[in-house]
Amino acid sequence: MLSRQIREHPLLGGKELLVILLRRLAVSIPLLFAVSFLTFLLVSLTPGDAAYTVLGSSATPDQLAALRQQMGLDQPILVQYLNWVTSALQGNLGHSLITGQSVSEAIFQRLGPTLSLVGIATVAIVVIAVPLGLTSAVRGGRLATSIDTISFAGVAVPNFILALFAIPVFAVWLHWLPPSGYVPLASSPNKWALSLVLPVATLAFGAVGIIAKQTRAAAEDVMSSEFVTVQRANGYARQSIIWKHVLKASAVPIIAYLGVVIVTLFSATVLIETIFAIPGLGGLAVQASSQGDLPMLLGVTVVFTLIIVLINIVLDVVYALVNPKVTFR
Amino acid sequence: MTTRRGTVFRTLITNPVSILALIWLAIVIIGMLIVIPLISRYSPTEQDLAATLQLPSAAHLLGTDSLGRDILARLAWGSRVTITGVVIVAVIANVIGATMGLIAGHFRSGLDATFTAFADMLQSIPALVVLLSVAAVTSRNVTVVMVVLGVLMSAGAYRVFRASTLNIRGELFITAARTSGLREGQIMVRHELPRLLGQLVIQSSIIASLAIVVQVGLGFLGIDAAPPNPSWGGMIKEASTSIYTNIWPLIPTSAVVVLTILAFSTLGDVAQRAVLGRRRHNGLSRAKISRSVAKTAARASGATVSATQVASTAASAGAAAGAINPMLVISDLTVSVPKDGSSVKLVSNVSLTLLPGEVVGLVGESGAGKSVTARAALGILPAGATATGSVVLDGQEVLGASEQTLQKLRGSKIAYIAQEPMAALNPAYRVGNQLIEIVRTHQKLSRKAARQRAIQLLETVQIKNTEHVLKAYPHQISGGMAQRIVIAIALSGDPDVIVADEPTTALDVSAQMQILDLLRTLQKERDLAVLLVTHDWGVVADLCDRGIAMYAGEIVEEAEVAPLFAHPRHPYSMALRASDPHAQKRGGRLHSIPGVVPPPGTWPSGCRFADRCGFATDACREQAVPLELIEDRHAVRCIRVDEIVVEIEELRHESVTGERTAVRAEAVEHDALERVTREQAAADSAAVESAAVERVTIERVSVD
Repeated sequence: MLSRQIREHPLLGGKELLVILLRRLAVSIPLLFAVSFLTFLLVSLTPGDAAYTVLGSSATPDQLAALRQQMGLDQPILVQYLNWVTSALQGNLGHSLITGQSVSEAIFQRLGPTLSLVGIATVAIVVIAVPLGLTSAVRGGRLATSIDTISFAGVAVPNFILALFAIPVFAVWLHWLPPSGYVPLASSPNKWALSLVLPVATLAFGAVGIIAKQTRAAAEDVMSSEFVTVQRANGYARQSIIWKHVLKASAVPIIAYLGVVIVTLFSATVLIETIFAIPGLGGLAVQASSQGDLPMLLGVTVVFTLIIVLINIVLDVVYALVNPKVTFR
Repeated sequence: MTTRRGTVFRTLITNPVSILALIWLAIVIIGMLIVIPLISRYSPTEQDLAATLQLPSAAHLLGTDSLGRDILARLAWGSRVTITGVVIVAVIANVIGATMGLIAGHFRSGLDATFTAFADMLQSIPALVVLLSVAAVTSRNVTVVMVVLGVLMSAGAYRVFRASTLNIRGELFITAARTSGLREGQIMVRHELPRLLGQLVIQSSIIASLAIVVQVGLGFLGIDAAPPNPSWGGMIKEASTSIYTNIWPLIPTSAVVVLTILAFSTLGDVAQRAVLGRRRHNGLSRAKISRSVAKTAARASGATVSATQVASTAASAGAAAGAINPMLVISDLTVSVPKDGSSVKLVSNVSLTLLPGEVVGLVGESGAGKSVTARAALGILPAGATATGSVVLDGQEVLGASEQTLQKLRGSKIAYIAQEPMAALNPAYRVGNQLIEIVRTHQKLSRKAARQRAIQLLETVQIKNTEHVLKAYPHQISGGMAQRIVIAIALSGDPDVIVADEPTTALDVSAQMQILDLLRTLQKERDLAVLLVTHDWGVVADLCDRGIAMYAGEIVEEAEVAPLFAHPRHPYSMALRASDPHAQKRGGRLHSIPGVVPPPGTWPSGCRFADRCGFATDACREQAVPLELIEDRHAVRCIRVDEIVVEIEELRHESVTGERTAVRAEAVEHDALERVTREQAAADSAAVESAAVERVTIERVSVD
């Protein structure tokens, strides 16, 4: 079913990599504008504005008006937006209403932990889930059932709840791992790795089951196709049929699913970073949201979207590499 | 992925797992949302600092939290926030997703591309971060946050509804509705929308399960009920502050959240299974093969003369002539697959023999069991199938042999050519890669030498532009070319037997002729034994030494090609012959056999062809009909075989007078064949209107 969806997918059915990438950009650039503009629009519709947030409820109307003028809040929304876009394109996303820190700077500082978290989780998911899914497609039986169970558990147990149970078990009772906190890679690679084990494991847990299940479905789809019968019947080595032929032929739907999963991983960092006290983008978003720090929130949202767009572009290239129907011209 | 409402709802209330899920949801919705708030003696915000962090007791069924509040009461009151949120998300996501999906799937073209691009955009948005922004600017207005979540989640629903609509739209009854003058809007609302209801159940459950995760997550971040008012997410947040000291409050709270998510995703899963049906066949998983002595099976079948004997007669005749051993002997092969708890036979008691250099044709309609028989010769059975009987290839038993043994036999002793050449090559690898791989599997050669051998093989199958073809991907070559490459793959291990399963069916006419020529040439040059599966009588005449007609899983007639052609004796062979387009008289009626082959599991206990046979009598339906030798090397499974000859003669004789004698005789003969089954033919045309029946392929023999 999925592979069919993908074959019929207007974005994935392209013939040339360039066309695929242009299509991706055609969707991505409006997306970035849409996300930023809608967030902007929402802000303008809010009764209490940025000036109010900065000065608090004790401010006099005169003070508010003065600050509004200073911040450009008295101008039409479209002008405000264009001003924001102009400076954003130059790398300036404004300043925090709370601390006055540059938004780009704050985001840049927080980028490392989030990217490590999602990056390692993605690698873990692929390395564990794809072989698991493929093996279960071949063997079926108990392995397939346990993947179903893991995948079901992954869906049913939200990763932040899993994290809350993992901390007392692995950090408090067993003392294997630190309960929370983040050590930068530069200061101690060893501690960096240890500090990421629980966050990565809880982040990846649900996705492993999902990707394994999708891999199994895609591989089963491929294995029921004629070429597998022809290869078996004509003496191709079994290992080669499974690990070479079936794997590559089922790669396209797996990659498409991986794209969806990575997006959800980024969303999930918001909770995971909060629980493990990791100074990343997700935590920054939560902090900015609770403080009503709108420029910061806007900046984080746009950067998150940008990262996802970039990941999708990378996946498009990977997709082109495994799909011979895409040509490089 | 179309759905029938009835199936989905019925499955949900009969499947034990989904019943458990429904019970849990009833507990949450009726018990927690409605009843407990009415009867509980605790208010959800009432603190009791003397009784904090208590384990379950008679006073507090689920214990108390860090402020001594009753956990059960808080869970019950807190369910309101989550359930309201989930309902908002599910309704919005489904309404938007289904509407857009229906429109895109129905009209396709520009709208489809636009909507799908839009769905792509929505799915690239980091949902939780956007929701945090929305929460911040709306001063944590939970309703608005959930509405936005519903919009974001509509993209996933849109994809599913679009795909389902695409499937439904392709079905025949939609075309019929359009032909009968219904407007597009009417078709969408009256015909397509109802079919999406099953999908609506599935999507609602899946969306609900995902929405709870986000809703509780937001609650965890403090974006739903304002403290001290309870919410599930907020309670988990409170419980998380004491996990180092007392983990109890986290347990019931998490359990309720997890069970509710589990219940919704279970419902979605069960409903989806009901729609998708059983799992697909899985070619690589090992089939269970049980071998038994051929005699047992023969006795069970009650056949007086088994096909084995016929085959061995043929074989011994051959052996007497040249003292040669048969290449392939299939004896009393019965292949069954499990279905709904019982086992259904796909072929029963099939026996055949293939001598070296001999070409045997297996003829019959789709569903006769030809392919199952042919593939069994390679030790390949349908997934989950069991086989009894034996398949001996050049003295070696194939059924029950280890995968290793089979891998050695395949390609070097016996090879396979498939029906769909375009699907027979791996689309992900270049032709050269696939061909060189198999060359190196059979022979230890360097890469360079293997490439040379691959080029040789391509020349053997009369491909000229070899370098170009080696570099091509399968989608860049024609069907005829692909079939040549498959033949090259089959020849790469220098086999003695080739199993060719409808090798020309999928090709256009000129490619058909070329491939048949190629097969004939290769067969002569290499003295190959060929088991050729076909429904094309012409191919049998062209290539084969012997022909075997199969019907509903058994052999009904076996003879050398000349007598089988000139004087087919089984009514089914006659009908096949009559419906062969090559054999038609100019201007004559193209005959087709009315009705369909009964699918496996529905075979009658008497003659399996009786219901479609114009000569059938009550006696035919009484008991299983044995395959009997009627003359040397000619076996027929028909108890009226002699009477029918007489009957046809009489019919001819009666109409000998008059100018249109021949035509009349032919017509009478056809009428006899059709007599019994006219009603069935009527039912046939009615089937066109019913999409359900349409799914059963009505494949007439005379299709080409």
